[in-house]
Amino acid sequence: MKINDLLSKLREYQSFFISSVIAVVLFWLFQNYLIPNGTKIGEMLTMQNDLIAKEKILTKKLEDLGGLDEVEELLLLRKVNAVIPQEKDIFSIFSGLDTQQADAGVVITQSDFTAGVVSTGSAAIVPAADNKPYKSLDVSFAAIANKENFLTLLNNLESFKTRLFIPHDVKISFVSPDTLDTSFILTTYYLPFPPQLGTLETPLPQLSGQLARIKDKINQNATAISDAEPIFEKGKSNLFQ
Amino acid sequence: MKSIRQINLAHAPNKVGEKVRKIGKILSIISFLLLGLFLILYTASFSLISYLSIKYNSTQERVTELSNLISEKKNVEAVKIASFKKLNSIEKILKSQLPYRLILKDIFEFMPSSIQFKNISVGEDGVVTMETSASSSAALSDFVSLLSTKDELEDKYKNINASSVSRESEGAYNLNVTFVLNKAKFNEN
Repeated sequence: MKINDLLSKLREYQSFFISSVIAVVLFWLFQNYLIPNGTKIGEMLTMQNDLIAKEKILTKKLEDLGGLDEVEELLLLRKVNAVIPQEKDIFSIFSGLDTQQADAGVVITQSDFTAGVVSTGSAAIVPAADNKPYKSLDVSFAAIANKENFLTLLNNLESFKTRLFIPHDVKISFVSPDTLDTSFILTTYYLPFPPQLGTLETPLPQLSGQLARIKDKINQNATAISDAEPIFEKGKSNLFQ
Repeated sequence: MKSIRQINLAHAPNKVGEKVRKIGKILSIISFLLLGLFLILYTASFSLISYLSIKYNSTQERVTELSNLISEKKNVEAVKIASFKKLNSIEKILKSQLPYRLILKDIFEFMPSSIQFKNISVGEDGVVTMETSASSSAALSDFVSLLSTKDELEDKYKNINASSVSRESEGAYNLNVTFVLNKAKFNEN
């Protein structure tokens, strides 16, 4: 009697039980299959978007690189290197000052500086104290000139015809109303090449308006440093011939 | 008198049981619908994952191809970056310097002919010190009033200070002048 009652009760609630079981199974299926799939789709979409962004950057970079003329860029680098060399390069300081003297028509009465460490490798090793990428050398400079030539000299120093010289602490004594006895400090700079290029996705740097103007001026006025080996005439290999 | 009394011997309907059955039926329909929905969603998500995987692989291949092409042009990239860094440094150096040519040209131009320079020094801090000589007291007076208008009307020179006037035996006057340059005004040019 009691069993029959129980069975009839069960029959009465059977659909309720079945749907409860299905609900539990569904919950388990959602939890273990559908939600992980959803998460995976989200992750894949993010990865895909990142990859598409990377592809765009690389495509743009490749386009930019394709637009560069290697020979032209190398020539520009040599010219820029003449303006701001990668090492102290004492020879270019003297030759630069000689050129400036000849071009402006001034008479250099004194130019001296402390070269410090002359070995070329040290230029790249010694870090700059003030976090500036470039390093500098000061040259004490004195010259006699007339007003016009002195102003021409100051103008030429910025013209990038030689390596860059920046004047400081200018002192002028007037020998006559038009003849100046000048003395000042000329700071010249050097900058080692960057040790690394950066990541593959780093876009190529773009020149701003001011940088483009400087580049044009350097292209126009600077003389490229040649990396060609100097040619020496060789003597006879056999002295008795 | 005869009375008839009717007795219903049938079981009274179980209202609660009927309700449970009804709810159970609805729940099982919902459960089957949800099961169907799960199957549809699972199939769709599986297909989407496969599609995204294929797309990701093809994009990855393209990226690898692009990376290889860029690596082939590494030399020109290195040259470009080296030039850029140097140009950038040159710009910074030029920005930080005083435009001495413009400053001296301006000073030479505004000085009246009756005034002669003896010395000028322009410091890195923008302080200009001049030792000048005026041929007469009138020239000296004109020069001092010129300096005051320079301070008032133009923004190029500030704190103009004329000090230590001394008279020479020939009637000329020596005057020391100091002022501070407004660097921004010269950099505008």
